[in-house]
Amino acid sequence: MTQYGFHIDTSRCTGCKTCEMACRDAYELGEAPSFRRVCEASGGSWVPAGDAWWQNVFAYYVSIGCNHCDDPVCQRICPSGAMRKQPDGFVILDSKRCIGCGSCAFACPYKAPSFSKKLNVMRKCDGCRARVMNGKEPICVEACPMRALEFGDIEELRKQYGNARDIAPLPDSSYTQPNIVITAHRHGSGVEPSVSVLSNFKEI
Amino acid sequence: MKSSNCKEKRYKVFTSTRNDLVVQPDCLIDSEQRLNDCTKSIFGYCSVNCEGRCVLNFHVKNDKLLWVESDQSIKDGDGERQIRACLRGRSIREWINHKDRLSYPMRRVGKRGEGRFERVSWDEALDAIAENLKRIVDTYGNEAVYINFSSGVMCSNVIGFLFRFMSMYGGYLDSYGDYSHSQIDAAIPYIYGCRDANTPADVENTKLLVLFGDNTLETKMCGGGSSIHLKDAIHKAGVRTVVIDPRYSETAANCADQWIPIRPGTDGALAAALAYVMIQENTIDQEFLDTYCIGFDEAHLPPSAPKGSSYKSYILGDGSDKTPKTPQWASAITGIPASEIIKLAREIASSKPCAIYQGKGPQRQANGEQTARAIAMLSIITGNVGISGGNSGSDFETYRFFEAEVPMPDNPVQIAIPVFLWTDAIDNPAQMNSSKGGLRGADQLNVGIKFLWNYAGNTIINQHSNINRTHDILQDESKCEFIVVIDTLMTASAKYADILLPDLMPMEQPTIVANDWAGDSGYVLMNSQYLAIQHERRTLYWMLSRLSERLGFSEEFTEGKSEEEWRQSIYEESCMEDPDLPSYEELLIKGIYRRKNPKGRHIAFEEFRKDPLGNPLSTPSGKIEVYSEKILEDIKGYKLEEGEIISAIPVYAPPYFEPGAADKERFPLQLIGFHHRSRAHSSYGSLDAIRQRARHQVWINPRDAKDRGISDGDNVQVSTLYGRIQIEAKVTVRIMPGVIAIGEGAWHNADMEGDRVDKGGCINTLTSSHASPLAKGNPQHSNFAQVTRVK
Amino acid sequence: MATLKSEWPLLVFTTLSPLCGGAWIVASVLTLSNSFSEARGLTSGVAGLLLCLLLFFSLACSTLHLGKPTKALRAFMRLGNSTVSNEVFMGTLFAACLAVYLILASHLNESLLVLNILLIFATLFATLFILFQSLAYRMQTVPTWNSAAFSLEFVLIALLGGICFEGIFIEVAFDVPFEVKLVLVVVEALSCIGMLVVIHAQTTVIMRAVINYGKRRSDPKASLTTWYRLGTIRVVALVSGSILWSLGLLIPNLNTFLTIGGGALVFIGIAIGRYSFYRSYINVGLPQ
Repeated sequence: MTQYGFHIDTSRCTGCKTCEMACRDAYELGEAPSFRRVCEASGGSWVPAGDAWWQNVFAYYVSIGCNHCDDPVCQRICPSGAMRKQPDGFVILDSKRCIGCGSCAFACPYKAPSFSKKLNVMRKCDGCRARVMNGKEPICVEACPMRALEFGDIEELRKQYGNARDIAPLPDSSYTQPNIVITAHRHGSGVEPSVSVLSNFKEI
Repeated sequence: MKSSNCKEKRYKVFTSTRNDLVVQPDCLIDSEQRLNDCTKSIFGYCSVNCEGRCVLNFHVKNDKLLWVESDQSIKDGDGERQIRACLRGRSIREWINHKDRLSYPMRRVGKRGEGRFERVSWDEALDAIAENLKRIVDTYGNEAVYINFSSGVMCSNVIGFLFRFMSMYGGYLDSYGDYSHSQIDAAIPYIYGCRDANTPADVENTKLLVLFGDNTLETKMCGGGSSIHLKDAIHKAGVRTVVIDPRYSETAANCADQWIPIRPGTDGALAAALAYVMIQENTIDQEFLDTYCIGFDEAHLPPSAPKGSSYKSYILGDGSDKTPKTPQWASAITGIPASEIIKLAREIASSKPCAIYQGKGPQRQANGEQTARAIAMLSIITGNVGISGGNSGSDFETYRFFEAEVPMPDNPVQIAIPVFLWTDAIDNPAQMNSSKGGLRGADQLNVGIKFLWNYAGNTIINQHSNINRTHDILQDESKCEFIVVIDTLMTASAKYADILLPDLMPMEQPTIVANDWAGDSGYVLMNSQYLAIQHERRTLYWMLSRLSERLGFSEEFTEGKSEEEWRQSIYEESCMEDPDLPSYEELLIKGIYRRKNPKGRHIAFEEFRKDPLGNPLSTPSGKIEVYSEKILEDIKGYKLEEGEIISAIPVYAPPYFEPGAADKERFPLQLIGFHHRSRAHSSYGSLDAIRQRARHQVWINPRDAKDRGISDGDNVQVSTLYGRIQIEAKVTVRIMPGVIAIGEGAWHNADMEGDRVDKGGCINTLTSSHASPLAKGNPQHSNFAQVTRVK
Repeated sequence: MATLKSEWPLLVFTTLSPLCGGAWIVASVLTLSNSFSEARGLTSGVAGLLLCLLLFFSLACSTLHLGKPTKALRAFMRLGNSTVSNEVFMGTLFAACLAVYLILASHLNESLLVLNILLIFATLFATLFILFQSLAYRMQTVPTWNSAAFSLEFVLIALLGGICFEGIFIEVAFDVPFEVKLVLVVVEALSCIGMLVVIHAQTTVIMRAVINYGKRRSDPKASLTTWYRLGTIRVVALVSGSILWSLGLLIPNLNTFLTIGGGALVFIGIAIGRYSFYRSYINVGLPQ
């Protein structure tokens, strides 16, 4: 069966957060944390030169949700068996089984699962599985005004855009084998966090 | 999809394949039901003033709005883009169902601005408005009635009824300009006869794109608008892009190969130095200047111009100021290293064609008119005007084809004020003359504004400069005697209403919308079904119809038509002008009609470039006027205050400040505003979901923050001569040292009887109401401020 | 991140449950080896009951950090699913065995074989429980936790805390030969030294994680400062507590409260360790 994945074009993303808000609206997330977040990475410094300034400042954005990883660490840690990678490749959280222990949130380096205070269980992106089964794209992809997100068969996406899936401030992809392809922003370095830092902590 | 052949997979599956898995708990409905099982989808749109108009499909079940989808009418591709809503449009459900949505007519009970109201019946509210309108018109005349500038509902068939209503009731004090681009709108026509520029798609034909303070990718986020067309063009042709901005804006982050940070208000100095280098190195397009322009050098000055008054003389230091505009001179002013200026000048000169655009930031300054012209000079001296891949130096143009208007008789009152001076027209009408007040149609106002209409706007308080001053003026009920506010939410402005009426959203009533900034892809949107009307909310037309009844001109005003019938007649009026438009019925069904620019893209002054004598510009000389005699003519009798500069040639004019406002001891940091993604001006400013995730923050450089002991995320107070706000700090390298930036449009929220510290963080608590000299526009980016940490 | 408010149930659980497990193992070793005449009193009677109550209390606490505490047993049903489910499984079996043993011990005094078999099983489950618990936080994606130093901490909590706990019982209610006490004190001292080594190792782990991944947090330095501060208190509590406890146990004429107070200090040291464990959370990706 097809393993789906996301192509995240950081050279097109303006960090507008439409993906996040469209998802929040469609899934009525209310007070709950978002299924998809937009990280701002920035770096560089300023050096005075008389009355003028030299700088090498840069910034870019990475939109990230659940990557339906090949090696989902959330599933490995889940004590109740609620988090399971399905045969169709989606990592699905069965909220009927979930006991809300939060282990998956501790383990996931993409911050995908989060605790819902209203429901007392964890919640997470399901890749808009129902939409995808009906031949549609996930809400976030369909919403992106800059067309920075794409969804499809990960093999196809990799053929088209290559195999890169590491960019700061994301974790090294070797941890969970995420099903994403990254088109790097011209300043987007690897995962080495010394160059660029996550700069919107309160927003993600 | 039902297959249990999962053993071959690398991963372990603990139970049999379950595609029917319940993903979300019942109370939230799983994605299958939520997204596909809606009984009805209602076509609509977001039509606030962000320069985009986006398609929204409202998924409704039993009158309950479940979720909002955007444009699905076509498949998205490079040829045709879906008109995708941004984060705001996608969050509109919170607005429509907002807990603070106005539901009933209300009458003020406390003092103005306190926000204390009591519910009244529609009859009581309308009676009060009719009585006061009649009294004020009878006492002071129609000149005392003013319709405040607003842009919350950008539909062709809504606010027009208010102007129609007032025109029929003897008229109203007219206005001109706006809060977006007053200065550039006034300035560029002195050069070209009108303000015009190329459309974004033309950028793909250029070798070098230079953007002065343009942040299209954040200010025009519509997924079928300027941002996507510009990005597509840059992306497609791999255009080298330079962005000049004090802030590493989203456009700089996304597109800029080079970012040149510049001190706010000094773009004119940079332009002059760039011109200096090009003149010195003889890389200007002399032939173009000789053929198409007047006033560049002494040989092409109009007869009335004194010697040494040409642009070239000014640049080389042969003019009255005797200062050569060298890169070193500009470096100290702009904060850009001289070598960078030289490099940029050479790059611009050697790139043929080169596209130079400016956003609306540089011009929104005191003396911003001069800056707008100064930037445009770069296009002129390099001969990039009127060609594909070049530009006039003005801001991005758009294709428009649809115009519809509520029919209205001429306004019997022929006097107009600039929109930015409405508080002056209340406070000090005697001062409102042509020099200081920009008054048109009369030498002086006979009476101040006594009756204020405010429909779907937040300019009474929030979007107008110097809120504390406006508050004081409006608190005096002897000045402005009656204020009517019609809106959907309790905005900062609504708190100042005497009568507050609950409006409907555009998707709750018959409306029609045309594209705004949409590149070369125009469209018209029209809804045929409406979200359910709740409580006592009504359309503006409904209110005005009943008022016209009370004032005795109902038949004339309504012509017996309903909202829907009016929309049809307005639209069909447009069809007469443009027979290619689909029929009303057809548009009702489809909701959207698209039309691409038949010429592909727009090249400003293309005909003039091809044949300057056959197609002269509408300037007095028919040529590009580097030296403008008209500007001197127009300001005859003006008394300029110290620092105010209006010049025949585009000189560098630094922003000026009211006494004390630029005291470097008290206010060492330059403060600018910007359009933040979380709001379209102040629209959407009260939505929690957005406020938490696209946070309202003051941007401050780590160097400035360190000096003040401020860390990222700290609460800080920003103060200017005019007021104080409280806001979260974003300590970021993305802003130039010495400069701070605050997104405009956050809702003012202060205890006006107490310390007046604005906890909503509205930048207009900090800005000056002193208008720019020529356009009488808003100089909201010319500020000096201090930041301190709040313990 | 982990605040005292949201993570206190886990803090209580991970402090008390390995301590109970350790205490049980110590008591059962003393009982089975017949080290002194009333040794079985450590596993049954009031001492056993207290231990049992404490264990049930800590297990109950652990469910309180769940969104759905009443559904906690779902994790019990998933043996083999993850280390946490194994931990829950073993913990539950341990508690059940312990309870059955206590009931039988108070009713079937004569059938020693049955009792000892149960005792051995309970001890086995306790050991497995501590083992799985020590592995439960080994997440590859959490470099501050994913280290032998943190796994060993659980084993040392069991040893150190368990011995201190039993030592208090011995001091209060039993007459135990000096040699046995000496053995206990020696093991305690060794565990204490082990704990100090572990704390040192943990500090290295945390420092490395902060250097490598701290930039992904807004306050990388703050987490190190907190770690050092808490670490100092922790070491002082553990060392001084151990010394007081040992003195109280070995020197007959000293006040009983010395042993109890020393033990309490050790428990506090352990709890602080748990708290700083949760506080030190840093993952390899986006901050929680």
